[in-house]
Amino acid sequence: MYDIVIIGAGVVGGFVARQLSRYRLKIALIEKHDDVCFETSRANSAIIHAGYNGHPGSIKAVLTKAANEDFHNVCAQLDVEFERLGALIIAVDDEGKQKILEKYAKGQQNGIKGLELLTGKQALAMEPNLNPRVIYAMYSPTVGVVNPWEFGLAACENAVDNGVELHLSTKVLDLKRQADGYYAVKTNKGEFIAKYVINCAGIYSDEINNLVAKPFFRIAPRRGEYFVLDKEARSFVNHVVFEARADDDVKGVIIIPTVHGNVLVGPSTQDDIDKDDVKTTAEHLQAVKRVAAQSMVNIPFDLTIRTFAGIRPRPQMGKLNQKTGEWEYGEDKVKDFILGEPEGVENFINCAGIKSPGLTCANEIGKYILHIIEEKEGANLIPNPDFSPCRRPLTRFSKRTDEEKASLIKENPAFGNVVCRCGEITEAEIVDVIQRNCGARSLDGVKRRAGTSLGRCQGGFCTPLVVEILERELKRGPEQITKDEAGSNIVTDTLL
Amino acid sequence: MQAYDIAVIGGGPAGMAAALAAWGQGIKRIIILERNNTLGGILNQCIHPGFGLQYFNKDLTGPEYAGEFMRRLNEAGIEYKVSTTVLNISADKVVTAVNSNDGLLHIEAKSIILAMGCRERAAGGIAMAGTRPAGVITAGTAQKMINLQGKHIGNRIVVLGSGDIGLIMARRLSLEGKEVLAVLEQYPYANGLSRNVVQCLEDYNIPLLLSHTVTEVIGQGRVSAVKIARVDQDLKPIAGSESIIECDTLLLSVGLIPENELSKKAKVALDQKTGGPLVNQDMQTDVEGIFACGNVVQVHDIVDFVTLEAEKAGQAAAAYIKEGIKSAHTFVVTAGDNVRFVVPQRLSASAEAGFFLRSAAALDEATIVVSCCGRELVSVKRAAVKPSEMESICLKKELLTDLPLNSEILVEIKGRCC
Ligand SMILES: Cc1cc2nc3c(=O)[nH]c(=O)nc-3n(C[C@H](O)[C@H](O)[C@H](O)COP(=O)(O)OP(=O)(O)OC[C@H]3O[C@@H](n4cnc5c(N)ncnc54)[C@H](O)[C@@H]3O)c2cc1C
Ligand SMILES: Cc1cc2nc3c(=O)[nH]c(=O)nc-3n(C[C@H](O)[C@H](O)[C@H](O)COP(=O)(O)OP(=O)(O)OC[C@H]3O[C@@H](n4cnc5c(N)ncnc54)[C@H](O)[C@@H]3O)c2cc1C
Repeated sequence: MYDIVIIGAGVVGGFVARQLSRYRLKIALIEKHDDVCFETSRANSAIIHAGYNGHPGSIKAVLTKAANEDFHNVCAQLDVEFERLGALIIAVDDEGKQKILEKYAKGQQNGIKGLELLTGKQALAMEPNLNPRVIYAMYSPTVGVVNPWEFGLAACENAVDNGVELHLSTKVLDLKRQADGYYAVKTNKGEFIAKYVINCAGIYSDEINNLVAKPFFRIAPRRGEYFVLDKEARSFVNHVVFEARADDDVKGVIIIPTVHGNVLVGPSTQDDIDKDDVKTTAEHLQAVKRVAAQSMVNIPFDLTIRTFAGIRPRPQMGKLNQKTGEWEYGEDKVKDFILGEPEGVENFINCAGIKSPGLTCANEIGKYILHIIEEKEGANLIPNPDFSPCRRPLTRFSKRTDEEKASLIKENPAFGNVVCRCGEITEAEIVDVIQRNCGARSLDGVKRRAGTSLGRCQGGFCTPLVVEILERELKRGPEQITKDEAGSNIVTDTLL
Repeated sequence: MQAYDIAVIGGGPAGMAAALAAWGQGIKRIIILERNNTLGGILNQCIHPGFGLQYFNKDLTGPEYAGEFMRRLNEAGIEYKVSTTVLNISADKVVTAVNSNDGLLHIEAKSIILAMGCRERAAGGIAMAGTRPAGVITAGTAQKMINLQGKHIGNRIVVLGSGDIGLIMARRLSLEGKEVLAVLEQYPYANGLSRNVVQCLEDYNIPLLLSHTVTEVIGQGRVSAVKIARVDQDLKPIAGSESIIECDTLLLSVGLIPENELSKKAKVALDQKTGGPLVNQDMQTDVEGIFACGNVVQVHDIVDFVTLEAEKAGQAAAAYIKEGIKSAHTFVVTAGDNVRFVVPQRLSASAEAGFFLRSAAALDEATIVVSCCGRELVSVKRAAVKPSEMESICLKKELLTDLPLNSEILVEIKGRCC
């Protein structure tokens, strides 16, 4: 019997769990994949938005502002890489200039600090590789970039440190409210009975909602494809660069320096796709190149080290057509997150339609849900004496001084074994991310936690070594080590 | 801080031969630093024959070739540390390295020899569309897993790229009973040595599809197929020419890149074309006392040339230490018509210069010409040249001494397009 079941361990589910772990509650965080943050939360633009896009007065606008202002604190607590680079929003024509003025006005209404309007010349002085046809720009100094998967993983790990149960490879199949008011959550790994259910199922949040509530919204998946450029491209750009039309809905490509020192260019926009279809296509990658050229000239695409795609969980709000009895869906003007209990369904709480800036807002969404539970439970809630908002910091060897490196190796000789040459990541760091709570179980699990194979060799050097470490630490044979999902085996058989 | 005369970075064939050559000149305080747990470099995983035909006049396997140099090193008593990764080289020649036993090492050297070899180009470099499943692997990584760890990486394999490693792995996998379905090459000619095309593909009936590429990777979890297409002269896929090959593995052999992260930290200037340091005929870089040799300078076809180049570097480093001979960068060498790159890119006037170069296109009835200020210095004729096979030409010292200082030396290939 659980107090709370959270469906979906993306960044939102992770932060909801983290916030709820402040109280002595029996919480299960249920995730269908073999690892957390495996869908939208791992493939996005990694931008921490300022809050000038949200519709004034919307929950989204309020949460984004609060999240941005608090972001460095959360990252310090969770030991997550974050950099406030600032953003330039640029216009090359009058329509773009108009867009910028609208954003500026919204920003003022939303109380966003530091926004500055610039001439094209001023923008070019700050960012020399901009399209020289830039006529107008807005500077937003508080925009940042985060290590997106580390952010979500750290929240999940912190929640587990605080006592939350994490159930991986567990898929919710059905949901029923029992006569006693509790929910029966049916999964492939058995049934979970809980007082509250919180729906954090990302692109599948409509399907979970529909198991107990009216289908008052649906998720229309929209794919975005990206290029990742080598670190050599980093000197090409200093800020996050948006073309004025590029917010999360309109076609437009962003150029994003990452916390790893690479550059992302994307996303493209493609509708009418399957929810799990995260392939990249030659056609849309080509489109990214074309559109990006409106923002910056001579982007070094020859330094591409990989491409990827993510799916935006775009919500469409429904109205019941009284005549036909059918639900009809369309784009909502306010474009808000769907947070809270749906009409007439008690103790089932949606965190649905969390598209951009969902990464930015995740911790604030967690707090928002915490308030709902606090209001409902009141004095029943007992603080968790073991709660800590901090996770045990990682030891990032490459960032240490020579003296610190020497003493680390003395303490643990495995720090002297450099496994990833591009990122200078040692055996000790890899073993640590496997052994932690919510630890790595696959090659990509190690990659996302320790940062291996993110460099220019893309794992060519370290893959055989990391596979060996995984075998040893997980006590599995080589054929049982996967890249990520079940079935993604790296070794097919052995010669021995 | 430990002090040495020479610190050699990398214990592959280049590093070992350079150290031995310097030792032969009487330099005794030498240390080799190698990050793998044994010396030998890439040769340890090259269990096929074909090594040493020039240098030893014998057909050896990679480990045998490397083993001979290890024997000589041990006989001489040259110091080396394995499982030791060099993290930094400062411009004033202090090397920072780590290993599990010694912890963090600072080594000050009068001269440094860069011999870090090269790495493979990854899939991203060719921006393939599709999903990102397991089963996409570079040929060298596969070679390491199979030959050194005894692990198979797939059963039905498509190879993209006809570089030597890809060709050798196509044969290796066939010998292991795996099905190699095809080798695809975007250019209209093979990128590997002709002998490897014959011995690794033709002898095993593996189809080589020229002017073809992979346009999409298909599969969830593991690769289940690749979409391939014919490409036009600009290497762009031709619409309508696509087909699907079902397979569980895509092996990439799409090029090697000299590994120069450390060279950059030491402020050594690099050549955009080779990706390696700019060197003169003594293999000295533009930083006095820092030399470079082997695949870190240019990707060689055969190891014998690596050894010869490394011996030059070792001897020059010894001369620098003993006699303070400063090997100048007096002349600039330029890659002219039909030349993709030429090494050395700089010359001093003090010694004869042997050039290694690669052609930019396949040519018949070719002439390699070295000239200065419009005057031909030397030339050689070849029945044919192609980008996959390295060419060489030698310039006598006498020809260099009376050239005006700082003049440009042009290396070009004339010939008929075939
Ligand atoms: C292209 C793109 C760019 C973006 N850029 C930004 C940006 O720059 N800044 C920003 O702030 N935001 C950005 N976002 C938005 C941000 O990524 C999302 O808002 C956020 O990741 C959503 O997190 P989530 O936890 O709701 O969803 P998800 O990460 O999708 O998590 C949902 C989880 O639920 C699990 N699940 C689903 N169904 C079940 C079931 N039946 N049983 C068990 N588990 C289930 C899934 O496996 C998944 O792990 C971007 C999004 C995209 C796609
Ligand atoms: C698959 C394959 C097949 C080949 N087949 C043939 C053939 O049939 N015949 C033939 O003659 N030649 C062949 N060659 C070519 C020949 O093997 C290479 O040219 C030769 O090994 C290059 O020698 P090297 O010492 O420059 O580089 P490597 O052998 O790569 O050695 C470089 C060494 O430096 C070390 N190193 C790098 N960075 C650091 C650091 N930071 N700290 C410490 N150590 C470091 C590396 O671990 C490595 O051991 C083949 C090569 C390959 C890859």
